[in-house]
This record gives sequence, structure tokens and C-alpha cells, in this order.
Amino acid sequence: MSDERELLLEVEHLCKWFPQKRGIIDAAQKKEKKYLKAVNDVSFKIYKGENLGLVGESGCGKSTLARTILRLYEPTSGTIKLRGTDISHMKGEALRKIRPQMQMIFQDPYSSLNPRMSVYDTVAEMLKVHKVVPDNEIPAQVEKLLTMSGLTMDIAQRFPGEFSGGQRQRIGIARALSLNPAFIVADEPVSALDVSIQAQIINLLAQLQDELDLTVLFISHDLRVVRHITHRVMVMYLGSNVEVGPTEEIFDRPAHPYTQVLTKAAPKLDPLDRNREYAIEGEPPSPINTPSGCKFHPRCPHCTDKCRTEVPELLEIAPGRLCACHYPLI
Amino acid sequence: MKRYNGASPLQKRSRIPGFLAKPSLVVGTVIVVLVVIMAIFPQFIAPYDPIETNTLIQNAAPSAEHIFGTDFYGRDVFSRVVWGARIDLLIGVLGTVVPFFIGGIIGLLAGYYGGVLDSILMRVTDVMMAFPFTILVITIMAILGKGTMNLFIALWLVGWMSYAKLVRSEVLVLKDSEFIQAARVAGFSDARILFRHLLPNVISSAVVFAASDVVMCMLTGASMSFLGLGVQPPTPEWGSILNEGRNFITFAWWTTFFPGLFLAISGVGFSLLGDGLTDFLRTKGR
Repeated sequence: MSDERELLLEVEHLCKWFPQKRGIIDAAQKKEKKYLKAVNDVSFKIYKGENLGLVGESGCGKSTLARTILRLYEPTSGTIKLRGTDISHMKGEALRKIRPQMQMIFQDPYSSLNPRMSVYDTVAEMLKVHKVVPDNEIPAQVEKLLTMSGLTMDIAQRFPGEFSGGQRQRIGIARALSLNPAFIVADEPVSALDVSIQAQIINLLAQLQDELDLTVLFISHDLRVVRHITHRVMVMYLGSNVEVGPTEEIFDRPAHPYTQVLTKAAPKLDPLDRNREYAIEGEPPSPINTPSGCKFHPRCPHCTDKCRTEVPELLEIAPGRLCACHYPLI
Repeated sequence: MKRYNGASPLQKRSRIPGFLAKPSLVVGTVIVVLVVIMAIFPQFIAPYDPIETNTLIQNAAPSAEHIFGTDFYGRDVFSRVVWGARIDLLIGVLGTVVPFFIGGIIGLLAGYYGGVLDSILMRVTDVMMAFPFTILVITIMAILGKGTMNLFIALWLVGWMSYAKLVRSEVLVLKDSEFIQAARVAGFSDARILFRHLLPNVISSAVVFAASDVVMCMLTGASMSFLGLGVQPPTPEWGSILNEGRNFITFAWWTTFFPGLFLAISGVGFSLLGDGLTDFLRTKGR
């Protein structure tokens, strides 16, 4: 369904490995250099105007993937193409010129704003540096952005320390929108907020996405939120994406055993309707020493010998649905 | 432009009583201001020429004409002490400000970019900081020779390291914080990130240290001059006045007592200011 839409971002075989510190003794023993494979061979596409959810356990590489796409990290290998331009190893001035097209809403609204800059300066600086509007229109533009994010101009001269988490996140949203980005990464934008505020911010994001036709990569471990606002979902496990597909289909009929466990394990509001049958067992393995074959096999209920030795590829198992499993459930 | 200058009304109301509520800050400020006035306008305060000798009144005790008495050469001690404030304050301030800027910038760059430069820099400072401040200054002075300019060079060569270390450690804490990532995602230049976003958030501890470092530099400068290495006579400087009066302390105590007193009081003043500033900067903002 989304294939007719304009392709905005294409990620192919992206890897981000962090080298582990090797002590002198290890080096003397000629031990192999170890890597933390935070992102390992991830491929996906984002189409214009869509909201792609990215879910997975803590530590599975969601944030690293997002930060690598935004080029806060240099990818170890693989390519990132934004509107056909390869940005994976861009540097300096060229990278700075392309950055306004991709913006980010951060997880922690308490550390994502410069404590020594007023709200006005925070937003106006973006407009000024990239000359989004002529200098004399900056105050009007700041007002427009703040209003759009549900704030008012009379708070503009205050400093971040004077706001609540929800308000700060709105400032973060205004800042992200200020450069008219084509693509926004929202890295767990509500996980640091009170539940009552979460809904407001989620609805604001959904509304802004509609109005501005934004393309969003929405990272979250809250599956209810993902189901509510995303069009497609990508599931990550230990640095790799194991399943991609339309949100409703994935939640209704998961193809990968991990997705099944994840969706079934999501807490429900009704205490009598809790399903403990699918409770996931064990901790995720260390991303430094990843298991052989399918990385999920030590925790998978359907594991066979093939799973222990052969790495499953991400294949299209149904129209629009990709899954990396030898025995998909659909 | 709809810009509003200054802080919010809320901050404005609380800031002034906050300032006055800290007695150490008030006392420190008063002392420092008095010393600064003395240093800027000695010609209006000192009744006599500080280097004019008069053999008729050698080592005269304090009197109405010479309230702090006179020294071995018949010079008015009060005038010498007043003129001495200028050079002592200059040593304190220049000995601090120059390293503050050099060390601050080095710390900022080393902390942000890391790498080989950072490693070399940190090992050098580790080695240099293993020696006491005064010993290092004396050693450098011994190599360079005596004189006021060499005293400054020695203070600068030793002083920048503390600032580099302080700023670097704060940069390491903040350089991966989300607001710096946000600035990078925004496509800001490194210069803008370093000086507009990082610097204002890392400089406060260096500012506080600078306030107490002024005392350190003043005392070191006075010590060097006392030892005959720094400011040379007959230029009035508290340390060298102390040194000159040393031989006559048994019968002309005033030539050493008053410059020593002034040195001590201004030292206390800068220390109080530094302490008060620490509290003030800690409670404010953040």
C-alpha cells in the first residue's frame, strides 16, 4: 500500500559497532578485538508522510539506530539514503547543510534543552543559523511555532528550568519543527513524562503529523502508543530488525515469535485478562557475544537445530510484511 | 523585536535579597572594592610620593604626619602600601585572567574533541600538577631571572592547567548530553556548539575557582617579591616592602606590619568573594 508513495529514507545493511576497550593483557594474548554490535545489518525504508514505529526491548539498539541515521554516529558499514542522496559518510559543511532535513525529538525533556538559553533563543537560533525566514520575521515565526506546539509567546523569555516536563517536550517539538524538516525521529518522546501528559504529547504529535504531512520514525517501548499512532511497525531484537509490517496486521497476527511474545506480553488494563502464558523468559543476550544462528533462538519457544546454526534473512512473507524467521507464524 | 531583556520577573525579585543574604559575599565585595579603588586612584589617597627618600626621618614611628610611620629610607609607609595595592592587584588579576582564558579554551577543545591532543595535554598537566604551585613558580622564576614580567610569565605557565582541567571535566559530562546532540542535529557549527552551548554551561566552576585563584596569585606574587625574585625595589609592592622592613622589625615594626596587614585583609576579601560566589552560582539557574 505504501509502495506508491515517495521513498524518503532508505537504509541498507546498516551496522554500528562500538569497539570494546581491550586491555594490554588482552592485546598481548592476541585476543580478538570485541565489538558491541548495537546495530547489526538493519535495512528498511520510510515513505513520505508515514509514521514508522520502532519497538523492542531496552538496549536492543533502537536509539543507536536513530542516532546513526541522524548521523550523530558514523555508521560502521551500510548506507543511509535521504531522498536518494547517500548521507552515510558525509562530513563537515555538506553534512551541516543536510541536517535541517532531519530533526529529532529527544527522550529526556530535562536534558535536551540548553539550561542557559531562553525558549525564544532556543527556537530563534535554529531559524537564524539556517536562515529559514528573513531576520525581521523571526519573532513572528517563533510565535507561530510555539503556538503550533501548544505554547504561548509570553513564556518565550523564560528558561527551561521554569517548565514542567510536558511543556519542555513541547519546546523540543517547536525546536524540531522550526527547520521544516522532511523527517523527524521521535526517540521515546513520552517515556519520561507523567501518564496524564503522555496522551497530550502523543495527540499533539499525531495532529502535527497530519497537518504538516511529516514523516516520523517513532521509537517507543510502549506498544499501546505505537499501535495508536503509527502506520507501520519495525520490531528490533539485539541490533537487528526481525519484523516489519503494517501496524494493525503485526499486532493482530505477528509473524515472528519475538513479536508475538512482545505483543502478548504488553500489560493490559483489565487485571483478570492478563496473559502469563506468553511471558518472555530470560534476559536478552549480550550484544557483545551474540548467539549463533537466529539471535532469538535461546529464548524462542519454537527453536530447532536450524535456528541454532543458520541466520534467518529478512524476507517478504506476505505483501508488505517482512520477517526474519525460519518458521514464520503466518 | 519582541525580545525581553533580562530575566523573568520572578528571578529579578529573588536575586537581590539573595545577594544581600550572604554576608560573606557582601563583606568580600566591600573589601575587594576598597582594594580596587586604592589600586586605581593611589595618587588621591597617598599623601606622599612612595619612592621619595628623606634621610631626616628614617624609621620614624607612626605619627599624625606619617600614620604608618616611615621606613629605613624615610619613605612614607602608608603611601607605599597604597601604591603597592596597584601592582599586587595587577599580579592577582592578570595572573588569573590570562590563564583563565588560555586554560578555558584548551580545556574546552581537549574535552570536546578528545583524542591524542587530549591525552598528551592531560599527562603534561598531571606531571606539572604533581609539584606544588609555589615551587613550580620559583623554579620557573629561577630559570627566567627576576623581574615583574618574568613573574607574570611564570604565573601564566603554571596557572592555565587548573582551568584546563576544570573546564575539560565539565565538558566531558555535558558533551554527550541531549542538548548538545540537539545542537549537532540542528547542523550548528562546532564553534557555535562550543562557545554558545557548551561554554556557558561549563564555565561557572572555573569562575568560582578564578575568584580564589586571585588570592593565590597575589600571595605568590608577594612571596616572589619578598624573596627578591619578582617586583624589584624601589617599586612599592607589599611583598618587597615586607622584605625591606624585615631587618628592622625589632625596632620599626610598622614597616612590615602594615603591608602584611593589607595583604592579609585583601586575601581574606577575595576568598570571601570566591566563597560567596560559589554559593550564589550554585543556587542560581539550573
